[in-house]
Amino acid sequence: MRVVIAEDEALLRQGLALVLEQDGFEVVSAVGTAAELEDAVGEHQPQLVITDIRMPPTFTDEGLVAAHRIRASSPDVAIVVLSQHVQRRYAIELVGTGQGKVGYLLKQRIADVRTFTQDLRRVVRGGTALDPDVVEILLSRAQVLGGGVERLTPRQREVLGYMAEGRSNSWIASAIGFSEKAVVQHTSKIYDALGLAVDADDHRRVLAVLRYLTR
Amino acid sequence: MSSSPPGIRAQPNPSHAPGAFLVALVASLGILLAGMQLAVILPGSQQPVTAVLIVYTAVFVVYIGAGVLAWMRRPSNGMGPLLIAASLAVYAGNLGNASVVVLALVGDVFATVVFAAIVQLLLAFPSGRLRGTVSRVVVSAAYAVAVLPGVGALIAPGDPQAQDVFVLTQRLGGLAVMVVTAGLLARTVLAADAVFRRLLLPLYGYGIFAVLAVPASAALFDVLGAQGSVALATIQLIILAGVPVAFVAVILRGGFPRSGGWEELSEALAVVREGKTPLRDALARTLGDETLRLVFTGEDGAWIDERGEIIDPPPVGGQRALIPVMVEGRTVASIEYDPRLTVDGDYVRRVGQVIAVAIDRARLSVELLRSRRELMASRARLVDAADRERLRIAQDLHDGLQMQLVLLALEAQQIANAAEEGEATSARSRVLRVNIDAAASDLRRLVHDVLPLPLVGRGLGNAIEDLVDRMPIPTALEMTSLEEIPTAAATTAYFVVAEALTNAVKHAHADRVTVTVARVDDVLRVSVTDTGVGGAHVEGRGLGGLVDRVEAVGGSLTVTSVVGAGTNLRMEIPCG
Repeated sequence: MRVVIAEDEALLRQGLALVLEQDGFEVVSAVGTAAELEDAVGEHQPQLVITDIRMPPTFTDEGLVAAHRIRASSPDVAIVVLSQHVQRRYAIELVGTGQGKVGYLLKQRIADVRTFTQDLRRVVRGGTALDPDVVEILLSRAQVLGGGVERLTPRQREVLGYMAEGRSNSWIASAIGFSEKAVVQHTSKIYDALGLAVDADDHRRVLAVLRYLTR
Repeated sequence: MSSSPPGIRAQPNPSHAPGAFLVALVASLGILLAGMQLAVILPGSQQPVTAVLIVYTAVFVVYIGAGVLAWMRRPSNGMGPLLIAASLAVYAGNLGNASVVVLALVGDVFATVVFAAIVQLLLAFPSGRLRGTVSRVVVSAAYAVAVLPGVGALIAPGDPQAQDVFVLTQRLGGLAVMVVTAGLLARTVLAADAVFRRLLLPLYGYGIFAVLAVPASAALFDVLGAQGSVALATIQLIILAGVPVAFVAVILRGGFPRSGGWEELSEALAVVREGKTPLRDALARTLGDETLRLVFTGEDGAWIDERGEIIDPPPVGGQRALIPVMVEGRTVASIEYDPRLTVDGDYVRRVGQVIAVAIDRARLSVELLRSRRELMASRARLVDAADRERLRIAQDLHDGLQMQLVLLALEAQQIANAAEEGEATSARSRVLRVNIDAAASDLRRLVHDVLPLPLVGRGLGNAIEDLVDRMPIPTALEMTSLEEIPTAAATTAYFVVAEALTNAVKHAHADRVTVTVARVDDVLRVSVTDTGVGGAHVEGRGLGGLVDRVEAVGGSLTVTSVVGAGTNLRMEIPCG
């Protein structure tokens, strides 16, 4: 799987490339700026782009802007945006409008290599990877503002969070030690409680949950 | 005010300021003279000559009226007295129409003196004094040429040939005087700035027209054979009457403001407002010079303007002159004025000395203003330095420590994942990785508290939204577009909102908060209202430091917090 990495810190760029190579990814280009990233995408036509948000020259949201441009010009390229700090607005901008193949994760998530590469592969397959931190912000906010989430049981809330992260039922089942069937029952109860339409597609499920959480 | 302390209200200076009595005296004298003249010249005359004679006397009244008006408006200026003198030339000229022989002789001598008077008025405008030898020579020549035929008639009566010579000499001499006068006036106009030119042109234009048109029209009517016609005389008189009218027009246009008396100047001593000393306005009125400037001398000898700003030394020479104001041998300020409007530097000096103590007081205020401004600037620099330090720390943590923690955690997890490691090592390495992640999470929060990165661009709106997103109680947010807010203002606004939100949760136990952030023109307005217990003070709960911060960037922070009725915090900072 061909990957392009954009990260301005050389050490982290190398570390990330190493981890990916060990896990069977083919890092075709590793660059340090958003402009180089766009060039590299045009040149290598990768299946996956991993980019830092904050890069030269302004160190604001260059990576995010580049991600949106790549999404517009090459919709088939999966994009995962990494950041030191996650916020709701960027999550909605990235995930809320697209057709999947997108991820928004804290940089620190790289360390848990297996989970991280699983997330990457899921995104490349058309899924979504939303950082647990930003999902937690969404859930708390929805709970504070009222509208259904506050009526969920703790377990249901946990499952809803995993759904928002873009996890599949089988992943959720192994994470909480339930059978996949039990997870399905949980999800349908959540759908009922929140008045959502049941959807088997993981990404469309994320969209529905996000729309619900940010309405 | 009868209780004015002695010395504050200076006595009017008789040489400059005509009292009401004097003005009334001159005015009534004028009316009396006009009446007497009509009594002398009218008997025996017939219509329409009678009407012309009355108009002639009316022209005298116009001159003296204009003179009195100018004298009142600008007591220190010589134009008023000059106009009054010119009125006497008109008066004397009209006596030529009297049937009494002696008066008629006087009238013949003064018949054209009014032209010389007009030349003098023009060359002496606006100060009333002639400047330069050429001007004086021209004016003397003008008077000499004017009286020449009349005097000649007295010396050589009944000699038509000699009289012809005198008249020809008058015409040629008059022409020469006018050519030189026009040259002098043109030079003055060319040297003048735009403001002064607007003051000069109408009067110069009309004056030259009058002096040339009256003799020219006489010559024209000579050629037409209509000498001595009533129409010609009326036209000439109206043109002459127009001269003082043009002068009054300039006065009323504001180019020639009324100079205040000493009283007005004294009243101005009472107040010195920030940034604007009424002293300058009073001085400008007194001297009739709107371009006047008061420049203070700082303790360190610097030139300071009325707003407390250090300025370049004022230019001196040509259109600007400088007179120092002294208190106890020290120069406390200087009056910068237009020497063309006020020729007498001693007069400016006297005016300055009268209010020297007040000027010194104004200087102290202005110096205070200056040091306050410097203090504000130094506070702003301190805040700026602190912000830059915060930014540096945040960036260092972000780019250094946070990245290293990612790499360390990665390393720990690699060890845990390595097949050759034993079970125990794997487990411990995994725990190590999780702990490093936790440390990284703490660090992330710390960095965010030190200074969220970044607040520029669309950063402020984003950052405030992020704060609100993380609120554990319902929080409404209203924002306008917050792009292009300067970093210092954005950072301050962010910390104020962050602190207010923390207080609403931690201290006020509010169950609802409303945040509005709006940029209105060049002011950034923040309001945070909660439904908590109230009773908060600006001094307490972390707000004290923020007040200093807000004030340092030139803003204001107010907190309204009644016990039991919630808290409202409002901040306004300039963000232009």
